[in-house]
Amino acid sequence: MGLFDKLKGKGADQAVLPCQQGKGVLLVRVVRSDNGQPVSGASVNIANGATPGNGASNGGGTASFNNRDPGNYTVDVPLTGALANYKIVEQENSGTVTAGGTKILTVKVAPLGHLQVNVVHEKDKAAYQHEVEITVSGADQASQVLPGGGGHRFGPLAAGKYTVTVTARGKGAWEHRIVSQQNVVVPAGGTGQAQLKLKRLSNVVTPKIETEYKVVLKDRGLSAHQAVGEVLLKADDVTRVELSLEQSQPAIGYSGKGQVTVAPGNVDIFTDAACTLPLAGKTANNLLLPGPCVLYLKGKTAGRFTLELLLDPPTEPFVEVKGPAREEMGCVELKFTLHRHDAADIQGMADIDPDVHPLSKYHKALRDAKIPPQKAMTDAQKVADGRLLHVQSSDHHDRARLVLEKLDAAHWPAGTDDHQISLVQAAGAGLTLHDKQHKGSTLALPHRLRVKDLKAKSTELWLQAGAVGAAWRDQVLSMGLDRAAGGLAHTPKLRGDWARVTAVQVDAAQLAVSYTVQPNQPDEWNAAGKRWYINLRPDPDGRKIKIKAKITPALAGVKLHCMLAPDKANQSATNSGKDLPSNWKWGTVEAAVKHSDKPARKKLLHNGADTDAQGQVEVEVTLSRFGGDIFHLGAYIDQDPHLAKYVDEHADLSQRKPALLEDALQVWRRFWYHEVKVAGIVVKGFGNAADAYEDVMAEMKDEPAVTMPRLTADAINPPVIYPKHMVSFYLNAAGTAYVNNFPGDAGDGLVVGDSNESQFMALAVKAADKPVKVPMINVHGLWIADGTSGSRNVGWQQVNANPFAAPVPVSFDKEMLDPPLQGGNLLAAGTWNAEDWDPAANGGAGAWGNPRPGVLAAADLSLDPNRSSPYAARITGATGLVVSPNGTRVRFSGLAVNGGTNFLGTSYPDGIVNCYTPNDEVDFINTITHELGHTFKQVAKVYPAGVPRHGKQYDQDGSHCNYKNKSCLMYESGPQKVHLDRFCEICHPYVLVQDMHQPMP
Amino acid sequence: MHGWRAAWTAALALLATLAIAREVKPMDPELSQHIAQTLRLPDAAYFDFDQAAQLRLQAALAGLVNPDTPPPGALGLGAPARARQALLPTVPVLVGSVRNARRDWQVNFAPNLRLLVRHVASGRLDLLTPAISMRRGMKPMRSGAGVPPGPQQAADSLAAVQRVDLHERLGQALAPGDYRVTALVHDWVSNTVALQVGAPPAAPPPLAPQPHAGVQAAADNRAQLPSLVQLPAQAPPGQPLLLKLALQVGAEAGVMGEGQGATWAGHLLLVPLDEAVQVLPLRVPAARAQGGGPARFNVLCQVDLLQALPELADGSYQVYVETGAQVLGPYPLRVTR
Repeated sequence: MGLFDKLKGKGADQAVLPCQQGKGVLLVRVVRSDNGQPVSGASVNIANGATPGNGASNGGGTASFNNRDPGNYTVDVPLTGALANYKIVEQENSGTVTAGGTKILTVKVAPLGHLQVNVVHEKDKAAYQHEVEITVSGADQASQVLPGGGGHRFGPLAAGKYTVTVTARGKGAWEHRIVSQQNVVVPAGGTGQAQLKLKRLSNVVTPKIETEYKVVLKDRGLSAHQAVGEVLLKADDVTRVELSLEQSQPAIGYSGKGQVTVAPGNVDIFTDAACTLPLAGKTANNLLLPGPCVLYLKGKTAGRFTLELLLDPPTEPFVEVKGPAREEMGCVELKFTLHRHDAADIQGMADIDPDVHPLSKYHKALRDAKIPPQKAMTDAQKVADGRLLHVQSSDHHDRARLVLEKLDAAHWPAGTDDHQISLVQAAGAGLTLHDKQHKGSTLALPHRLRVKDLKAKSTELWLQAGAVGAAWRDQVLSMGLDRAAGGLAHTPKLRGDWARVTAVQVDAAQLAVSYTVQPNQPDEWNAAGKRWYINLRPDPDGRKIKIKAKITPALAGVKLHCMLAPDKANQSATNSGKDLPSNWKWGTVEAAVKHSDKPARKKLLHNGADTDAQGQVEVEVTLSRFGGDIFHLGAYIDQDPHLAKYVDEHADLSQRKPALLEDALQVWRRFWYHEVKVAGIVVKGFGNAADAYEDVMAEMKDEPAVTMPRLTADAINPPVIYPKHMVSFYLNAAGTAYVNNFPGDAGDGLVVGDSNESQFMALAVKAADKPVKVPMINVHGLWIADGTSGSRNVGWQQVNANPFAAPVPVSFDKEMLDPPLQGGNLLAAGTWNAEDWDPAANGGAGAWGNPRPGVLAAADLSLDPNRSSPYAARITGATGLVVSPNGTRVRFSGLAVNGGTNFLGTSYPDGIVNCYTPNDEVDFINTITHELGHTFKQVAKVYPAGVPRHGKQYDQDGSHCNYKNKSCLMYESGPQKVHLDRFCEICHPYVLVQDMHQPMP
Repeated sequence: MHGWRAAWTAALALLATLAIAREVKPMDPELSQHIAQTLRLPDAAYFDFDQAAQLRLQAALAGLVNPDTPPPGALGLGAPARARQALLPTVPVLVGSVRNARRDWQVNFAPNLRLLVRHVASGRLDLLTPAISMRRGMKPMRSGAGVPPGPQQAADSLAAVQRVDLHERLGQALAPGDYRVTALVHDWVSNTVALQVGAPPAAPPPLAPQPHAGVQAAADNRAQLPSLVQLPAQAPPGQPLLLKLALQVGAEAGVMGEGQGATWAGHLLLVPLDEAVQVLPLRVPAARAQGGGPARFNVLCQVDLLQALPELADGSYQVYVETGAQVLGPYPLRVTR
């Protein structure tokens, strides 16, 4: 505001006159400080200044002093009279008046009043003992210290607004040490009122419980099942709790103790983590303050309980004890059920008959057979036995069923739903969890579930081994407790429940036939050729082999089952050269000739044994008697019973494989032949005879020949050396005539037969390491005595001399050697009747007369060196016959010879005689293989039960085969136009399944 | 009743009336009978048979024919009434024959000689080739092969008696019981000898019919039923080859039974020359014949040979019916499929 305005507005009732030259004006305004109104009638004195003066304020509140000499002036406004109850509140009482200027001084005055201030204390009377200071400020100001509170009347004070402030002084806790009240009005002439509250505070002591978890695990006591000396595996059954006190006014302090209790007593309380020092009595104050006091709750009995901290009542003033602190907690039991296959259950499965036709029926039944569910393991089994698992590989192996048992909700206090149940494996273990027994999804370990979820229902999981361990039960799966971060620091709690796992692996590379040839015993195992010779010991012992299997790690006591998995192509041409005939119904073929690798054929599991300290087993199984069968060796642990279903190349059953050694071995037979010779006589060797046996999965091996000295042969009786022309014949290709292989050949021919073969065979040396050995001798003729022929009558023959000029041919129903093998003469009986021609008789027409009989002598009958037929003989004369010069006729009656018969070959109990037939070298080899066939009981008349009769077998010249066009090498005679030089497709399977241990007796 | 039965019954009546047997006997039956009589010896003689006995019997058989004009010949059997294998493991049978050289050329005796050994009660039939040794031998000459004997040799004759040990030939002891043994040489059939081996089982197990493709049977209980075999000598290609058979049999053929039914076990034999014999076992129901006395059973059946023996090769056969008590035949048959 400009000066004019000030004058105009504030002093409108006082004229401002123009000043004289060199003079100034001094104006003194008197106004109320509380409302700004001008105060009239106030005396104003110039107390000091160049031009003194007195005046009074006019209605505008202004006292004017004109024409004042310049200089400093001091004014005094004495409040008297009507203004006696006023007070100068603020005054500008001095200033400088300048020439020509106007100096305005303002004095503010206020009417007087009083102010009653009361200090009120809340609650505690003791608070009065405390000193307070009251300060008022505003239009005026004043203060007052009150020693004990109460009130104070201030005044006189300038009327107006005040702020009253009370400050608590000295010790004590206050809600607010300073409280104030604004806009307290002191009325003019009156007394304003103000009341302020001071709140004295107490030390509120609040007990506090904090927990690591709201639950305590209960140790299920599984360590009781651990072996003596083992490090006991206990549950983390201790939960840390921290007790503390909260003080609202720590300065006040609290000296009481706390009582810690649990009810009911599901846990024990300890003061050390090892739980060796039980909590006794009350907890000292110095533990609680400043705290925390750490205690340990050790689970004892499952169930909820309340942990309580109860503080002693306070002994100090201004201390308030809260509580007790309570924490609802639970002692909880975690449990999972681990399962394993039970051998008795598997054994109790319904029979699955492998002896059905077609075999695919068995495979279907095998596929459909339900393996009994795994059985829950007891705690003792979980710990002491552990669960055996095979390390997983390509989903071949089984998993252990693992059921996390539903939590007992009654044991879990509120606030624990988000706690986590964790499955943890010990370091180094290779376990994994899965949602299905086979395939499915992998669940990582540690695996966590919310308590809430496990309270709702149990959870099924499947446990799988991922890596081998180093020892029995060295992998531990633990079921524990965990929670999210927050609150007290916590550590996961382990082993609320736990189980041990042994993870092994059957080492496929170690699968093998376990065999060591013994001194002086046959070597049954051709490891390089993968051939097992089943016939070198009596059947079925010769078919028994031992499968060696090994696990990693090398643990003793692991049950391993070993199988012979038949190759898919068994009983087919692929493996055996010929398909099993369709009329061989597998279901009826007796089991004795099939492979056997189970304790009971209709049961699932294969032969098994517990591993030794090297982790190895040797399990005996029996091969089939079908030559050519190929078997794969397999092994699996008893906890993988599904692998017992493995079937080679089956669409379903080959998907999950045991440890396998593919094409481990093939069923073969082996025999040796031992040639016997006579010194100086060369017959013929054995050519490619072995090929026919290679076809039927039998090895024909030669032994060095043994030779009989010629002198020894010469001394044998009946003789073994005949002229060649006498001993070897064949039927010509047209089948119309016999032919002599050695006509006119008087050279030495070796003839061996029934009566003397044993003297040759005896030369063959038996050898323990070649138990199936067949002595064989190749000869020029195989002859035997054959009794007496029929009696032949020969009609009239004219003769002109005796001996006859032309021998009379005669044939018999027996073949002949001379001398006959049965001894004696060739001629057994015979008479002659003769008549002479009498030209004079019959009236000169002539007639036969002089009839006379005679008996033939041995010399009258002989064999022609050039004869073609072995049945042919010749009568060279008639002993006693005198021939008439006119002519004589003679006929023969009752001619009989000591006959013989010859064969191409014979299989004797002690060896084989083969007759060399130079007319047909191939047929000679067929003779050898044919006779060996007989040696090995072909053509089979006795065959495994259930095998149909050999459709082409017949009995003639032994048991023979009449396959197409007599072409089988087991046809009764030879040579034939069509010759397979092999066993035919009908014989072939019979030979395959023949027991070739012992040659035919 | 089967449709074919009516026609069959009519044919039976006609044939029975005419008393025409359709049996062909190319062999001299009288000579055969003589051979059989010659071979009928005391039981001990069969077991003590030696070369002297053989030569003696052969001489006797040779004496049955005119040495100047010997007939083709004949066949006969002799056997002991009883054989006790427990005492002596042999069951001897003597096969006697007389044949001229032409016959021997026509039919090679040894490979074509067969013994039918029938266990009466069980119906088992063993077919033996007694003149063939059990060895791989030289291929025998086929019948009729090569040059036939000339007039000089054709009349040569042979009288032979061969002792066959059934025990040895069968390779095992014969089951106890009654046997019937008959010899065949293609179109020759011998007498049938009865032979008891050991003590027959008191009550042999009853037989059960066995259905067989191509074999049909019908019930017929008439009191009298003449034995009859009807078989065409051949059938047109593609037509059934039907053998019709009527028999009345009883215990002598092993047909036992209670009540109205029983099972007859017999065999059809188709005998080619020089080749393996085809045997068709028959197990067909037999109906009890009306009338008193010992139980008799009627067998009435029809066999389609081509259906029953699907592998039967084309060729000529001599067909025989082994009934358990005897062997009927031969019936020549030509098979052309």
